[in-house]
Formats: sequence, structure tokens, C-alpha cells
Amino acid sequence: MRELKRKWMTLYSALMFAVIVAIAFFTLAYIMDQNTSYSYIIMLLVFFGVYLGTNLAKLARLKIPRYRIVKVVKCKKCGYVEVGVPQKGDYVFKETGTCPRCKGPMYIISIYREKVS
Amino acid sequence: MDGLDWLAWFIFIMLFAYISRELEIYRIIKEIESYISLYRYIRDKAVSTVISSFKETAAKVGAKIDTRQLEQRVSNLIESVLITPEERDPFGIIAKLKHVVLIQNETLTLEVKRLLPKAETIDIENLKNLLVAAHELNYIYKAVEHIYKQGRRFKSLWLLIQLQAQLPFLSEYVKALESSLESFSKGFPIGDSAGSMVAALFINRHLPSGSESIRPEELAENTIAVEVPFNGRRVLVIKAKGPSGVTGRLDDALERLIVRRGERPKVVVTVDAAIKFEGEKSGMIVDGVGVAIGGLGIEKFNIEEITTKYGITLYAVLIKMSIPEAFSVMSKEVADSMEKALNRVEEIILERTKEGDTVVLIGVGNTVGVVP
Repeated sequence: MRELKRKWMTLYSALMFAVIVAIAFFTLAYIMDQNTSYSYIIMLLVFFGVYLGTNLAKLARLKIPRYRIVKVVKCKKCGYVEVGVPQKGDYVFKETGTCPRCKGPMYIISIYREKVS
Repeated sequence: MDGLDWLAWFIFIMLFAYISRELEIYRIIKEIESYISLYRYIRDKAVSTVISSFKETAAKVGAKIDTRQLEQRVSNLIESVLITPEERDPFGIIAKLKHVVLIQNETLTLEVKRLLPKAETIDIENLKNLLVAAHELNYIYKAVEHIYKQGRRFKSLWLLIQLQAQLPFLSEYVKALESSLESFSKGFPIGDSAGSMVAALFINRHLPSGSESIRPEELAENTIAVEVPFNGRRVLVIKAKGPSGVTGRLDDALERLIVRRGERPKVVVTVDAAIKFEGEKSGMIVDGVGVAIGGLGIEKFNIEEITTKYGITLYAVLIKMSIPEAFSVMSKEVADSMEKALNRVEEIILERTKEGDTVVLIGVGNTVGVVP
């Protein structure tokens, strides 16, 4: 999703930039030549710019939340708790070593994801 | 205004109405196209995740895998279809449906084993889950594209409007499947594992002191039962065998206990994840009466049949969550509610049974990342 958003943002921004440059060019041409056909082009470009701007604003407003996955490891004897990042193959109730406090067995009691931003 | 002006005005109004309708169709088409491109992207991501997971597992077991052959096989499996039994004569349809579903499951296992003969069961089950997710995503993408193309071909505004109206709901499901890719490729618990997790917590909390390890008995394929004493009651906990991503055969396990072994439980309590309403909070615990099992309805039907025949009371505990939460790595809200769900199960057993009664507790759902 994040990659898709980035891709479309880049595309819309590039097009928006091109439209602004074109509007500036035709406005200058209109001021210099006073040719009314330029004004029609400017009007069409403005419409296109509004369309692009709306889509760009929509994309910018789109919030994709970030998550992190954590595991909670607990000592069965003394209840000492540690929070860490789970490795591939970790599962709930897996023994993960000894307790640094009482040397009792430590078990993963939970693996979950929480929102970071 | 003379007649010509009126005509010009009328033509202008007609033209305006026509253009406005065309613009509306264009807007709908563009919206559907953006959804389709999102679905295509997610489908392709799923396929590449499946292929990379196969390669990782091959590297883990020291096997060599031909990439072209793998891609071909994965593509075939993703395109394969499950033909459901004929429904015009519905008599015995559940047994037929179960038969077809079991064949599909066995075929998928054989296909994965054919590609990776040395892979462990846990890896095989997780790869199967990834394949199922990719299969589902491929089907949704193709079905949506099909309706869209038909709508354009026949210039049917109504077909496009109907499709557009359903896309937000479908997108929820697609995003949920997308999130499940991460959980199954890493083997972490998902929201749907909540029922299995509560059953596992119950076993661990009430395991008699002195018994160092749990001795589960495999009652049916990938389904275990553990007997745990609880306040003078015998609690038989049934759940899928973890930590691989399986849902087990809960109906077969219950049938074995009640019909073949002659166990007569007073109540059967099912614990499962349930889809919440928009206004509800994730992790909310709800009581119920009946069998809490989703899916195709095979296990639900069979458990209802057995319990009705033997007059066993059915209670349920539901853990509420959204569709994306049910398929992605378990959210903190759901993980935090496990303790509450476990307490509610204990309350139900204490309040609705007497000492000396036998109770069956069924932890429903995919048990990925949860043992036993």
C-alpha cells in the first residue's frame, strides 16, 4: 500500500508540475500575444490541474498506519516479563531460555502487533 | 424567446444531462479501475510471497527447487477451483461438502509435499495457508474484473453501480487477506487464533501442579484433546494442533469423544473470534448460546447434530474483532482480551455446571503460532 501511494504521489506530482509550467507558459503567451485561443488552453489546463490537485490531496490525506510486532516473554516462576521482537518460528508458549532473575524457564505468553503511528 | 431559441435551450439541457451522466459513469469506472489495480497489486504480492516462502523453506531443509517449475505449480494451484456439491437435492449435502473440502486439503498437502518432500509439517501447513490466501485474492481480483468488463461491454450503469457499492466491503476482506500473508509466512498468531489461544491458556492455567508437560491426545487429524481438572469438574479441551496454521477437525474430535468413547459432557463451550460491528470495540467479549464456528458450516452442523442427539447444552464465548484483525497478526486489543475471555469461560463453567460434571471446551480457529 505504501509503495502504491508513493508511486501515485510521484506520478500526480510530476503531472501537476507539468500542468503548472504549461499554465505559466500559456499565460505569458496570452499576455504577450493577446491571442484568445491561449485562454481556452489555460482554462482546460486549469480544469486538469484541479482534477490532479483533488487526487493529490486525496492521496496525501490517506494515512497508512505503521505497526510493529512484539512478543511478551514471561518467567513461570517469578513472573519477570520481557518484551522483544519475535523471530520467524516463534509461537505462544514456546520456551525461550532462562530467566535472568531466578533462572526459571521463560515462555512466550503473547505475540501481537501494535500501532506505532 | 422564439422557437429556435427554445430548441437551442432544449438541446443544451439534453446535452448537459447526457454529459453529466457520462461523467458519472466515467467517475465510477475510474473508481472501479483503481480498486482493480489495487487488487491486482495485492494478488501479485501474494504470489511472490508464496514463491519466496517456498524458496525459504527449500533453503531451510537443504532442498533444491526449480524456480520455473515452482512458479508453474504455484500458478496452477492458485487457479484451481473447488466444485461444491449439487444443491438441487440438499439431502446429505454437508457430508458431501466435507468430503470435497477434505479432498482439497489433502491434494494441497500432496502438492506442497511434491515440491518440498523434506519440509516439516508446520512449514507445509503455513505454505498451504499462504496458497489459500493467494488463491482467494486471485479469485476476487478476477471476479471483480469480470463484472467490471461486462459492465463496460454492455454499457450497464447499474452493473457498475452495484459493483462500486460492494467494493469497500470487498476491499476490507482483500486487505485482511493481504495482512494474513505476513502472519502465515512468519508463523505468528492471527486474530482468528483467539479461540485456540483461550483453549491453550486454559490448559496452561489449570494443568495439575507436578505435571511438567502437557500430554495432548490426537483425536482427529491435527486436532488434540487435553483433560484438565477445574474446580471439581473434568474439562476436556479440544483445539487444533499448533503451532502450524491449521483449524483441525473439531467435529470429528467431538464425535470421537461422545459417540465412540461414551463421554457425556454436561455442556460444550465453544470459543471463537467473531466479526464486530463498526461501533463495537475490538477485543469485546460476548456470551452466546449455540455453536460458535464460522467457515462453510460443516463443523457447526456436525457439532449441532451430535449435541442435539445427546441433549448437550451449548454455550459460546465470542471475541469481537474486525475482518482485517481476524486475518492479520493478532492486534494488541485482541491479545489483551484473552485473559477476559478465559475468565468468562471459567465463569460459565462454574455457574452452569456442578462438581463432578464433564465439560468440553472447544478452542475454535486457526492455531497458527499457538501450542499445544
